[in-house]
Parts: sequence; C-alpha cells; structure tokens
Amino acid sequence: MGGGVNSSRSLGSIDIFASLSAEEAKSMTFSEIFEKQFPWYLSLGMSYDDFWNNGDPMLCKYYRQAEKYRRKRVDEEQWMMGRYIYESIGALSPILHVNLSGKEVHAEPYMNMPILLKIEKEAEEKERKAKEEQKKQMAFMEMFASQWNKKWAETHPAEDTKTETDNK
Amino acid sequence: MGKIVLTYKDTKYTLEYTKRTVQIMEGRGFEINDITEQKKIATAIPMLWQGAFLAHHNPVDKTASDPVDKKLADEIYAHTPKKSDLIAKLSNMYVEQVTSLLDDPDEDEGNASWEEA
Repeated sequence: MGGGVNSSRSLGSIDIFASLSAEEAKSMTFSEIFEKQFPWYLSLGMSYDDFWNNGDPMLCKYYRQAEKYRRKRVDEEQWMMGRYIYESIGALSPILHVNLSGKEVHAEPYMNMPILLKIEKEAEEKERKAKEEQKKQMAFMEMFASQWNKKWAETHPAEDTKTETDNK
Repeated sequence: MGKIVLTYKDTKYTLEYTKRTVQIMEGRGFEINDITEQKKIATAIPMLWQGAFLAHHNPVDKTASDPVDKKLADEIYAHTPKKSDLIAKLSNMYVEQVTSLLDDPDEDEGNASWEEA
C-alpha cells in the first residue's frame, strides 16, 4: 500500500496506517489520490459504495480510527497470548531441566484462572480489605471519642452546668 | 459540513460532492486551484456549481430524482443569493473529500494551534 508513513507509525516493513501525508498528496490530482487510497479502505472493510458515493467526508476518518482501535486490540491479545505462553513455560520449567539430584520433580500447575480474571479478583480483594480496614478505624475512632466524652464529663461536671446557666 | 439543501420553485435540491463526482469533474477539466488561486474563475465556478448536483440530481442517471442539467443549474444559480458565501462553502466541501483522507498529526504538544480571528 502506498503511504507517507513516518517511522513511528511503521512496524518493521508493514505500513500500519497507509493513508496519505499532505506532502505526498501535493503532487497528485484528487482522482489519483482516491484511486491510490481506495484499496486501503477496501481492506479496512469499507464498501465500494461508501467510498465512492457517500458524500460524508467523516466516514473515512472513522474507518481509520476504527483501524487504530482494531490494531490496538490485536496487539493486546497477542501480548496476552505471549504472557500465557511465558507462564506455561515457567510452570513446566522444573521438569525441563536435567534432573541430577535423583529427587522426584513435578511441573507447577497451570494457572487456575485466566489472567484478567485474576487481576479483577485481586483488585476486588484489595478493595474489600481496604473497606474492612476503614470500618475498623471508624469503630476505633467512635470508641475513642465515646471514652473521651465520658472522661470529660466525669472530670468537668461543673463547667457543663455553668455553661448551661450562662446560656440561660 | 457535507451537504447543502437548496429549494428552488418548491423543489428541494441536495448539493453534495462524493469522490465519484469529484472524479467526474476532474475528468471534465475542473481544478479546484482555479478557484482557490483565482486563475480561471469564469469557467471554474460554473463547473463547481454544476458538479454539486451530480451526486443526487445527475441528468445522466435515470434513477436520479429531479435531474438538473446545465441549463437548469445555471438558472438556479442566477436565482441564488449570497453567491460568494455559497461558492466558498462548496469549495470547502469539495476539498474536504480529499482532506478527509489525509492523516491528522498525532495529538502531541508540539502541534501548531490555530483559531479564526
């Protein structure tokens, strides 16, 4: 695909966003630009009719934006896949070594839940613990305040009466 | 931006450019630079105007509702007020068919900013 793609937007030799740069478009007629870009938009899933006969200029921008999201999602999925493979090899590593000790070696069990679910559960657990801690602190503060008030009332009975009288 | 709806003698006309109609107009010799650089305004403006009808009122397309031929387009143009504003808007609509294909620079602090004065 054609494309004024700068280095930050390319992945090896693969053009990630093949739309044109303004510089490149300068020397071309509008028709040439359309002809050059049409296959790229077809590859993004845009129909012939939408490209050539739909007058809404925003449509192409939305297709490009959607492609960026699609690339990001695929990248995340591939990263996750790599993470699973990495974890799996790690779990198997005890039995991959040459065992000279004579001891019986077992592979570690595979993860008991998907990574994202695990992250979610850990976050929930953290939140639950934080709430519990907050409750404990509140209870302590209430107890402390009640004890303080009680002690104050015992040690300052006259002042309370005086204030009441003064107010009257 | 995108389209203009114009009413003439109780008939509504939609003025719009598509990539196909831009291609047809260029095939007939139209160049937007003739308007933006004010080179051949006398021939370019009528072409820009007539081209705006091609998407929805192409006289060659038998399925088009209310087809507009060159003669009718000229007649409508003669009865249209605020011509310079309209031509400026049409020019923008035409150019937008290409600018929408160009990449915006990524959002970053180094980009220039601009505003209408």
